[in-house]
Amino acid sequence: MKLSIPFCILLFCTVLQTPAFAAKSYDIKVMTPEVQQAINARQARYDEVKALKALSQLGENNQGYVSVLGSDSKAQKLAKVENQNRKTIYQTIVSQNQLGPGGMEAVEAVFAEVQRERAASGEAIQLPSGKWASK
Amino acid sequence: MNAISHLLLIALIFSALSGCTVKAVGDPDRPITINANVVVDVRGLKQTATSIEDTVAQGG
Repeated sequence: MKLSIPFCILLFCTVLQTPAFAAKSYDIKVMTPEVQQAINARQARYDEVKALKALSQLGENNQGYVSVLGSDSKAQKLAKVENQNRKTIYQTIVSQNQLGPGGMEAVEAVFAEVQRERAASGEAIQLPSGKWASK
Repeated sequence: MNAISHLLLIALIFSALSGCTVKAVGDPDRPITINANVVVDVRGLKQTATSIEDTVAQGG
């Protein structure tokens, strides 16, 4: 079987496009007002959340959300709205990328991993095993 | 081999490589299987998550 050079190049490019070789993108394809609002709100409270994490009043759990670790009422209030905003973002990724009902769990797990990696030294993080640790 | 045969061969190879995968690619030690028709690429998802968290942190 004689294969032409353009054909071989096309074949090579096709193979590179397969999931085994290329990372699939899961973007927010349509920036809905709800997602934009969720991101804006998270940006606005970012410093407050960061400060409460530094005081160990908040920690990143292994499901992609913040958990209240102390008795600070402000931390409880912030955690509630922060988690609502995160859920909006996660649900949008799941629905816009058609990940199905099990996709939410995958999205939450990956965001949790990213949060663990981004946590500053001394902040509380929950490991995949469920155990809490200080980074 | 004519052009149609080339295209058929490409389609067959593409189907064989991507059609029936049920496990996530990216980190072979942590595949995430959702169902028979949906594949979640952990690498791609992590890039998206990192990008969103970068955006959130920029507001801080």
